[in-house]
Amino acid sequence: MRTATDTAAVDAWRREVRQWLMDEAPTSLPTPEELGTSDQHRAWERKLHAAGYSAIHWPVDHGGRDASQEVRMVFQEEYERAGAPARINIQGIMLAGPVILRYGTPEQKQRWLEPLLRADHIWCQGFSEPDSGSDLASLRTKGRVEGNTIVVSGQKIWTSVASFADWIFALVRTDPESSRNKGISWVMIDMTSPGVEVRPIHQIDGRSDFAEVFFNDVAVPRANVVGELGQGWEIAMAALGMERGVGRRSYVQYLGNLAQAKQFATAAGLDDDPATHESLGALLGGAIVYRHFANRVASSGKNGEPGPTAAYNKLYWSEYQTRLFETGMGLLGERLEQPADDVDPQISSWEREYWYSRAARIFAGSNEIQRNIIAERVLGLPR
Amino acid sequence: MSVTLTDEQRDFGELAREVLAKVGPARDLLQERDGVARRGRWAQLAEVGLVSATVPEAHGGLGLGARDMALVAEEVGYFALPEPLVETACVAVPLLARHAPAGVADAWLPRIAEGRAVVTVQPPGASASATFGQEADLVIVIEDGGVALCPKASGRTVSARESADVLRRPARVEPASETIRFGDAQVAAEVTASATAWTAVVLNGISRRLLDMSVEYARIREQFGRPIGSFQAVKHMLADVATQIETVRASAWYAVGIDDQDLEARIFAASVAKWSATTAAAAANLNALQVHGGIGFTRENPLSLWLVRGKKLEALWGTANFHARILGEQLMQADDLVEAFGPTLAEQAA
Repeated sequence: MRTATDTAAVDAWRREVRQWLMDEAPTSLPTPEELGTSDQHRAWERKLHAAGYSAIHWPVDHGGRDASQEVRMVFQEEYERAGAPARINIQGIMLAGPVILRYGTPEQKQRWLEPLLRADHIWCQGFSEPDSGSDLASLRTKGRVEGNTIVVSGQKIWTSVASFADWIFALVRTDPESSRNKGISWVMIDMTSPGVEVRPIHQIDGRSDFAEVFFNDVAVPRANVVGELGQGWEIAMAALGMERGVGRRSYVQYLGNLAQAKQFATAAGLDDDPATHESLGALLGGAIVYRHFANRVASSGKNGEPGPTAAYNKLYWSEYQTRLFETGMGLLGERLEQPADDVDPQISSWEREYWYSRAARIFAGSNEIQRNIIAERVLGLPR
Repeated sequence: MSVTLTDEQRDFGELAREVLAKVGPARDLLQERDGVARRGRWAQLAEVGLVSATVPEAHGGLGLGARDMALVAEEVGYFALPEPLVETACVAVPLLARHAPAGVADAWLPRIAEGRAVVTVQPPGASASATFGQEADLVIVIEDGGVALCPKASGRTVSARESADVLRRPARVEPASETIRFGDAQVAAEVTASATAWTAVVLNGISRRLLDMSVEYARIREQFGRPIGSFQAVKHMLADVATQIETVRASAWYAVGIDDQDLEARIFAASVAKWSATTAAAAANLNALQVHGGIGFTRENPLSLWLVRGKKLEALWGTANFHARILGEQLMQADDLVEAFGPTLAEQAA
């Protein structure tokens, strides 16, 4: 049962975070790709860590605050409200770190956790392969076990932040006789190892958020395997649940997007147009619905495990974002063809966000996979 | 403001579930007499405290709050209860307790608590009608400048309306000129927001039932030698409906649970709740009949009860488009969306 003390504590937390971000957060930091360096972002991450805000849901002993889902939601809302920079080490904080905490040896924790929080190690994720998208268990990247070394060869794709990441956690088939989800291991690979090659992907939106990562007989110490050889699938499933849960995004960023959409409507002379009121109103409603849904999940404590809540969450926000940006594209109309000598960065950015929202329906478990999960595991429909 | 329900609130919802499963209309749908509230059923609801739940203790009730009724109201939808339990206990009682002159509250609240008064509410507008307007002991008619109380023997004019929902026959009620009135435009707006939000909660219960029935049917109905629920087209249809329902429920709980906040916030939350519940209900409705196929199109199949009731409630107290427009107008008027609709410190302290 919720008490007045809880509410007061949450309010005090919100005040604290809001004030700190107002004082400290850079509000218009270009992406590492645009800057050509990740230094400023690393410095910001370091600052967050020094103030104890880097990974608040981690245990206190490892640089976190043992924050509840509810407290995390508040932090995320305030982070978005402040317009603070995108978190470049999100794969580390959301996936690599929690996996190390749960499955790692004391030596592995010692070696990787602190540098992760200090952003000395930026992490990227090596799951998807050219022939293994939704069917992840068909992955073919091989790890030949030779004594204390694992020799990795194969290819990963759709890897975010790979161009400046220091480490990659990869799913590697270490048992050549195995198939499907058996015989896969969770292997940490230093991106500077000989034989690792990163090729940026030129995307539909003109950016290169994703890359291909090639492993050409990369020698990885056996000590870099997290958990047992062959335990990789189990670990990956646990990790994906952590990734898909609530707390990584909030409705506040959508309010910011809607403020832009409203400007587009005004510029198009649609301030008094009932149809525009209707479509923007539905999007405002959708943002508020996400707020209450996320708060319900966060305060019920059922989060972080793979399953229905995570699937509902991923399906909801990704479909919502596409509706949101699509509506904005409609409001922009002809303005999308911009004068070459007078480009409005806000419009360009909206168009990129629109395309990125389309990617979000595919990545982190395609929305069709999410629907299968809901149909089979929640509703109990036959396979 | 948290949207979690406490164990006590869940228990009360569970009680409602047991009682409504027993007395609800689905078991003897075809034996129900057209449009007549069944006194016997009302008495059973009253006996377990569902009718008197929100009546203040001083007036013989349990003195429970809106939050305590959230799951009860969902179950009312889930079991398609025809009688206006939600209108009585969730909308009328708080209105009477908060805004009626003392004599009026003293007269009606104990009667309601004892299960001797069925109350319904008529939305504002010249074309609106009240569910059970003919039989209700008290019809609360929302007017521009407040509310009018129309008891059975008050000389109210009642014109019956036809409805596809044969178990909940509506009637247009015109108050007699000398009838008791109270409140002002604010009160009228408040009770409208309240009824709107509670309708959203009931609608979510209806949607849950439509989904459950569809899932159940998809598991047993076989075509091409396998259950139709094993086909991905059917799976994805139902997964989308489940996602919509599960994501919107908390917005309706929130809207009914902030009855201590200012009117503007309540109206906004009610629009979010009704817009979202209606959108989810429309999807649940469309896909429930699609999954059932021909059998769902027959009136003797119980599904028809929820299809028709749901469609009615989608239209009442403002359609999805109506509420989306209200939200859109507020968006256009706000100087700063994050300030206007984002997290506030005051709210967390409340």
